[in-house]
Amino acid sequence: MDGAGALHSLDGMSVARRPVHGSRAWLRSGWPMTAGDHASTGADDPSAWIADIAATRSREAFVLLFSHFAPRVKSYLLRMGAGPDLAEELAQETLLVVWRKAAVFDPNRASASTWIFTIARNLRIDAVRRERHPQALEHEPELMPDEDAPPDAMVVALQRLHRVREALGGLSSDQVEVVRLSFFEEKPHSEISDDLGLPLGTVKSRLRLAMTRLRGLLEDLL
Amino acid sequence: VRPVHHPSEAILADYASGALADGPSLVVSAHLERCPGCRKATRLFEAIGGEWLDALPPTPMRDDALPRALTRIDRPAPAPKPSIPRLGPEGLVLPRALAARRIGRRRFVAPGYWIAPVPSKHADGWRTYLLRAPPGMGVPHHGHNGAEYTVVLRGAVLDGEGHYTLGDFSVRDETEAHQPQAEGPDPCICLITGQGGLKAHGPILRLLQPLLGI
Repeated sequence: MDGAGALHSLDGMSVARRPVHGSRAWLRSGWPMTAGDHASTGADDPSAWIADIAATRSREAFVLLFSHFAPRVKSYLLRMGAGPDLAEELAQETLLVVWRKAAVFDPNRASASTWIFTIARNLRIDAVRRERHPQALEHEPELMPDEDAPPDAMVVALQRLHRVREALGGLSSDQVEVVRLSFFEEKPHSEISDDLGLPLGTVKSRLRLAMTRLRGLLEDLL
Repeated sequence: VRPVHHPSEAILADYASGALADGPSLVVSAHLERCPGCRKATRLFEAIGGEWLDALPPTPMRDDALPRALTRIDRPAPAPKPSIPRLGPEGLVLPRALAARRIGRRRFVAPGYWIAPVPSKHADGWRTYLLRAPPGMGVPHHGHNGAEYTVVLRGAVLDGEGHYTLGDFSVRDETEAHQPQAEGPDPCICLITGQGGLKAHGPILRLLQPLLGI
């Protein structure tokens, strides 16, 4: 599932070619959509790289994973307000945690990119002592795998990635805006309400509608 | 028994994206531990975060980043923190989110009542504490100067029309006054976090407030 490798094989479009300049234009316009075949796992699939690290401590897999994710984690941290030194350091640490905890990664529950997102998020919360976000690694109930991944976990995971992307593409632009501010700019709802000049109740109801819709579309995957 | 009172989607979104302060995040974590439905919703929000991460344009790492990382992975990892359940006051099985946290000394503030502070990682204006109330007793009528999040860790609470049991979550804001009390034959213990303290509406609480530190 996940991520990067999957983007190439699923969408037939590389990350670099996505319309991402500046702000989140790509998000406003929806996710790129495809009727992909989600078959291939392996050579370019980050979930498989993590599995290799867990199984054989593969340094090659680590290099692949680092090369793909460290620069994106760095981008994420920069956008969240970290300075360049901190962003560089936390991107390093994020990938170090991936190496150490590879064995608890469960591709049946989350994509590699989702798992790595939660690691980076938690490290940032611990490191960047801004009062708005302090949620720590040990708060994270999701790090514990609940069950063994079935053998076809990778395929399931790839399908899920695809479905999540499709579902996001199906939201209205109003809903996407609220989801975007909530997540991607990490604003509390009161600030979103100020930013958009909308009553707080409207922000909440839009988010609720968006999530209801996403949950309906994705219920079987979660 | 699964919880029946849940955080809003908005709160779960804030939790998943890392926007919640430490105290609220602890309270939400304690609820999530007992609530598969809210865990699912949180996972969905995290999946959105993962998608976003993956689509971000990369920022080049420094030239020595990869060699450094390869050196670092060869070093022994620090021993992982034990994830065994930890017991709190009165044998309370602490939520996992609290297991690694220091729990302050209990202050016995009235017969059958105590408060144990949970120091925050950040000076962010939220005060977090465990509160025990004896059967049938509660906190006198009060309002809040800011938001207050609560999760029930033992026993049951009657708050207005609402019945809250293990894992149930509630949030009050500064417009809502209430008078929660332990319901049923047992004492209750809640994890509470609040911003700005309580507004005591009656003389008893006003008298106790300095002692309670809430």
